[in-house]
Amino acid sequence: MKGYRSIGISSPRADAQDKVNGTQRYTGDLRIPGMLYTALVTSPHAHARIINIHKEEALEAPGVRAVVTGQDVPVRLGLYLGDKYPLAFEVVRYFGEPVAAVVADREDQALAAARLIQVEYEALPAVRTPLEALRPDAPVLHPQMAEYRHIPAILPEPGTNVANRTRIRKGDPARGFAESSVIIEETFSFPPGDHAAMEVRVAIAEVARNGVVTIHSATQAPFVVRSLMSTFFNIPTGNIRVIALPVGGGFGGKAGIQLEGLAYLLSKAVGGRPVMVRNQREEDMLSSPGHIGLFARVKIGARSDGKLSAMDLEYLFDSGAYADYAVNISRAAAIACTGPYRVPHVKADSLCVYTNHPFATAYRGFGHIELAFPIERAMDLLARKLGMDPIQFRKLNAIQAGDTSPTQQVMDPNTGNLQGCLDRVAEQLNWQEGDRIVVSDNLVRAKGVGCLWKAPAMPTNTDAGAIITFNEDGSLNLTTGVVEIGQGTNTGLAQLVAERFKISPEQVHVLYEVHTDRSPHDWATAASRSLFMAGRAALEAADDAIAQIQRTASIPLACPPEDLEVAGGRVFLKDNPAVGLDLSQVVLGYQYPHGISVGGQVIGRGRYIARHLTGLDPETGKGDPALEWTLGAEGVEVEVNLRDGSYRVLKAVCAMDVGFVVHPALARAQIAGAMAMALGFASREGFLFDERERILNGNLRDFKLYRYGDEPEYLVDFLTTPQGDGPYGLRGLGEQGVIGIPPALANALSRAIGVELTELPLTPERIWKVLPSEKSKNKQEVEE
Amino acid sequence: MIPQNITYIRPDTLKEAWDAWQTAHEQGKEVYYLNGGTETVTYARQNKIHPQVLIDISRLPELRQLAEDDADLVFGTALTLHELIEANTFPLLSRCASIVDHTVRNKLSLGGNVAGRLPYRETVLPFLAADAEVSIYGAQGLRRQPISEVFSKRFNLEGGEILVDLRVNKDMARFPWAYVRKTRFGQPVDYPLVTLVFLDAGSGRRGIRCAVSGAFAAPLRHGFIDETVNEAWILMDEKDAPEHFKDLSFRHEFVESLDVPFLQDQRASAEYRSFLFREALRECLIQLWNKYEGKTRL
Repeated sequence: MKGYRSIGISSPRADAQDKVNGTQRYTGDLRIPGMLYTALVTSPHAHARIINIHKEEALEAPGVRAVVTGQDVPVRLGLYLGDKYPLAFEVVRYFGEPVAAVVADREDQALAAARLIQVEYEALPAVRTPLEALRPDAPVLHPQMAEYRHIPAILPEPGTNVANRTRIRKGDPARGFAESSVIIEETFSFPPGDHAAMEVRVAIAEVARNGVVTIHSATQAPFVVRSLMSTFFNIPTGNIRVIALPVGGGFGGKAGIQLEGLAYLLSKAVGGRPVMVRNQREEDMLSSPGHIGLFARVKIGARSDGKLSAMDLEYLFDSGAYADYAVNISRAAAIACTGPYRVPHVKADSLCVYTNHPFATAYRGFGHIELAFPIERAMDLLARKLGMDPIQFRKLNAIQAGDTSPTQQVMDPNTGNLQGCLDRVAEQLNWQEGDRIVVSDNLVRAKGVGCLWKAPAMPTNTDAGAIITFNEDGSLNLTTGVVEIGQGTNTGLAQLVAERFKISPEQVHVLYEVHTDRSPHDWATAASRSLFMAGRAALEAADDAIAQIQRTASIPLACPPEDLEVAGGRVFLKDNPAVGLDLSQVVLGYQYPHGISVGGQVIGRGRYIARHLTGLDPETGKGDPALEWTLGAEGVEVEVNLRDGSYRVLKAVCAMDVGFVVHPALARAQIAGAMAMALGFASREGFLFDERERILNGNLRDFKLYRYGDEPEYLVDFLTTPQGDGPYGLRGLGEQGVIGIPPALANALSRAIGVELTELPLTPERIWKVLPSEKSKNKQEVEE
Repeated sequence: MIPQNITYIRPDTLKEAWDAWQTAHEQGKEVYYLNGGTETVTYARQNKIHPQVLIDISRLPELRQLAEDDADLVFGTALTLHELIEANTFPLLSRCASIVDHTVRNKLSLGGNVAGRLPYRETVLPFLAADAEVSIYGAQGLRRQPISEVFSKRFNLEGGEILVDLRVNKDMARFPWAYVRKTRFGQPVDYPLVTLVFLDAGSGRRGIRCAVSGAFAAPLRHGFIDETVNEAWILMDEKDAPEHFKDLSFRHEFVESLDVPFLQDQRASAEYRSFLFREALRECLIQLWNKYEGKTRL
């Protein structure tokens, strides 16, 4: 990148060696002296009353220190909606819900004892879908909802299964539809599933004699954990220390509160000794939360010139048994409900609905990967009905600066160039050759696109901080509250600071652990906001440190501080660089040759708080919830076998307006990784249930993920319309790459077979079942 | 983690292994022979088996054989899938052993695959097609039997009997073959919805032999399938036109008249498996035809 020294380059990651060699230490690798281990007993029913738990035999088993049930610790926890007991209390609401925990000296003892616990249940009818949950005669899964603690931004409806309803009312939809010459209506859906992060969730808690609670956790949100532990267990915040080592994959699944509350309760049960709660893989998939399901009704109208006039949307999110974090997914989906298009008239109801499925939490894309599937599929249906090219149709309606979002927030001059992104995608897909090409008798190649937009869905006072200290050699230490979850933000932050100091990024040592008692406050490592917000804080800390260096150096150099420049590890006169000092002589105070010292050590501090954010009006959704919108377009090319419905993804393409690229290789990797994750989500993932809503594929033998051998060619392009308030003009990009891929895949496959696909995952069997010519082929005979 | 104490025994001879099994069994212990261990570990973790005694037979010389005598190729059941692939003395077996990933193939044994609990057991297919013989160690010591006598859905062995090796006629191992494997998402590391093998023993020797896995509840060699395929082949052979194969499909009536139901489970419907099975038959015939490149078969 022209004019810059340390940004716009692919600087090495400080953690690369450890990660590729398998020597990175994660929370599950910790062995704290005196630590005890745990095992869970989980529910074999999707919905049942707990009649009795026989724990006597387990208590007698070797090494067992405690057996804890929901009856012992009836406390509800949650971030946005406090609706979940760490261990089921009286009722189990999903298959895999933890009902008891064993604490023992060794993990094998805990597991063996857990097998001795007998639980008597009385099975209850399971609520299978959001539609079923909304029927008047449906069992109310949370009869005490009115008592649940929740943030004001969500609107639960006690007495029903609706944990949140966010309403969007913009313009006059009735008029909009009256003015439409073409209207489509369709429903779309996909089931809940799992993140399948490589590292399973783990938390270690201990309670010291003086009341200090220490929690090590594989968490994306150490400060959220601290705050919730304080709120729900009445512990003074300063008595809680949460430590987050690097995390082996988050994808949203380790935001909010996870196993920390249970670990704390179990530690209390054994006198405060350190207790590790670590999921087995199957528990991580079934007992801990996964990705949300959706049933969506979409009605869209367009005028004869192709311009969108109105949308009427209903998103019914299948939150499963608990909705703590999921309520905010439904809210985020409402805020962005139309996709990145100019729509004058909008009515949307986005509901978070309880069912007897495994519960949901944040998943990469947070409401946007979900809403994009119905919206971008519907955009293709509408384009087809209008007889327009799907890319031209999207370009015509692409949102731009000056337009308003569904919450009537005005898109500011920083708004990215969606039309440009669509052009790049068209080029990369060679769209001009056509979007359906016959290869041979039974084989076609087809292409599809999907647009994306996303702003962080976060509290209006979301903040970040940064502290810079110095070492004797003049190198820097940067401390922030950002958790390393694989995304590599620390490398980008080092680059930003290095750019200010005009040094190499390797001279900026970023602390790869977050300790809530010494790292600056940071909301959470979520919402693709870290490089933006912690980046702003880090730049302020760098500027603050530079000012202190100038001040100290100005004393021995006998000049005004403003005459000095800091670069290349030195501080020197701007107009005569030969006159200056090494930073090593200044950063811990300057010492004159005769011994007298001045200045003291340099400590740079920086902070950032989101600006201009507001809540939403409960009736209309009007408000300013978006810090910055990232816009982009994606596409895929597939080769489809028209006999059996099998297909290969040949190419996945993304063009995203990210404002500025700090680290090209990591930025590309984030987006290619996101596309791979989304291809897995769209093509094969999702829980399968039996007739009693028990999960059939709750292990990695059966829950198939995208593998290296499946990868298509990834083509990633960046557009750089600057984000004025972002560091060097950058915007978030960590999650966004997932959003447009599922609909792009469905659009391409629908185009290939000539049948509109409305459900995920897009398995070959699902495609085969709707293949138009299939039945006749079946009947063909060997003999003529 | 397997939360249980296990007595691990590594005998030096087949007799020691047999005796160890009988002793454990008489003591009422849950006892298994241990070979590659990939299934043992998985099922024990999942609380589906609770081994108290594991008898490690993976290093017994008889089970480690990769040999040939005058007539036969001998495959000891402790050979790993990787070793079978590397040796490549029976190309159809190498192909069938190319399942899962390399790491697992380094551990997964032939014996564990052909006699395990999973319904697929794909490496048994070439042996079914080739009318292999098997060596079994039991109360009377070592015996040999045609596979058709001991394999029906699974190896039907007495408690504690050890499947020592599988033997294939050398000519049989060299005959032309065809192989088609279909999975849910087309990725190789998954269970098969159908794996179909053809081994063409020539017209004088009962012709094409078929064996199939994944489509049904157990691996299957079925006279009716063999007959139908051979009839189809003769018909196509007479036409002598590869173009004809493109349109070749099997009748619904054919699969419907099979006396074995197609498997229906979470991975696929019986209807889809039936369809893929018929597709596989067609594709195997085309593969076989292409191997002859239009020349008259053996």
